Amino acid sequence: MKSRIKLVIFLWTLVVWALFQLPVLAVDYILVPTVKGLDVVNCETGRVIEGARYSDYVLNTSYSPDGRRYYLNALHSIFAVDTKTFSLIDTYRFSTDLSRVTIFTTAVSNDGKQLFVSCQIVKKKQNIPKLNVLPPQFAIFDIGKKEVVRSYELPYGVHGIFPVRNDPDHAILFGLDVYKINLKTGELEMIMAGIHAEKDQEQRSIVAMYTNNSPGDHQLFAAPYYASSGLYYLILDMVSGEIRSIKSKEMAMPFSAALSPDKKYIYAGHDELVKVDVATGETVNATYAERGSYTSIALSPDGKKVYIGAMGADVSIYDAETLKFETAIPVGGDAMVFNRFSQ
Amino acid sequence: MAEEEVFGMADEDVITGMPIGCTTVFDPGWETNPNPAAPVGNCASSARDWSNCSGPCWWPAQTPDNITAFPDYQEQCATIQKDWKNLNYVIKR
Repeated sequence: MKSRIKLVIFLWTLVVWALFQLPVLAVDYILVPTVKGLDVVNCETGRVIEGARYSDYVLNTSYSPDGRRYYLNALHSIFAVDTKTFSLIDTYRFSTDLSRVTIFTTAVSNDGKQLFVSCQIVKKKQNIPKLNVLPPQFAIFDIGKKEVVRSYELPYGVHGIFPVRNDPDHAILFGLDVYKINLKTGELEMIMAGIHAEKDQEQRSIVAMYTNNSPGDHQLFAAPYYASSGLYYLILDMVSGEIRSIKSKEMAMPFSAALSPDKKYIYAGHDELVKVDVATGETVNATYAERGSYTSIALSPDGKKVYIGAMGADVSIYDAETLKFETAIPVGGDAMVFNRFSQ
Repeated sequence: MAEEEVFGMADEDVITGMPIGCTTVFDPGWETNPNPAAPVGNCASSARDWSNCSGPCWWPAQTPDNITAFPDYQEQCATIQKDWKNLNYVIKR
């Protein structure tokens, strides 16, 4: 009898052990914040699920470091979405009748408790036909309290915020130039010149508004920039805050870029899709975007698929090796950005 | 905070000639196409760029300016390639 019990226990232990050894079969979802609401594309089945509903233009997105919250940056509000259920859990409204706040971009603090917001505030005085246009602001919004707890003046044009993951006191800001901001004091340090280049340097036009990263990825943000000497890609290490540049050997006109999971290739484009070798800057493959211009790019975690889309109302899937178009999945409205989540 | 009633962009130390407007970065739109063939620099089709322009006020003269004059334009036209017949932003009815 005892030996039979031992055998049963042994077999159950074996079954439980075997279950833990199975590979985690994550499904890729593309979260597309359209003008009508969040549409969630299952990249395996092509099925589109309706998530949070709203009616607004979502300019930009950010997610909490643990990937549990997805924040949709509309012009005057931020929508908070639960990434397990894709439902709307809160709306943070920044504008009032007398104060119009236009939000350019947002990012989530390392502890997930604050939102960093680049915004422009226009104040109206009651019964007085005058508008007070304040300098651009960097606002720190406490998610729990639902209020702005601190704000600092910013230079014009900050459209990308990246908190430094191993330094909770600083964030990297992309605007007309690239800055490091001290989150405790608001002090700014220019770390890469854009249009305010020295006389012996060339100006750079940096397009860093499409944050194509995904939760759990390599935490390297890639973006194209243009200078008189040609096209470059910058790669920001979001953990250390360090930036490096790669000169593209060929010219293209990308607005948006993403680094492959193995960090060997940059995929970039707008009307085209190009694959650039990070080590050499050579374009190893290129194709036209089958469904037209797009703003967002994502790679599957295994690096085998490239997802492109937004601008129009669809997500296209390409083979990452051959850049062969595979399919396009329509969504319910036009969008400006998207992100991949896998679960 | 400065006491001035209005903060003008002209006060910024920005090199003139750079396109500074509603948008935050230099970004060739569908009017500009620097190359006759690949790589093209404009949006194809232009409809793909419509919502991207009207949302953040990229080309406010050519598209419904969603920031001030037409805040609910997307109600009429959620997908421009399908809903263009609903466009009604030149003359408000």
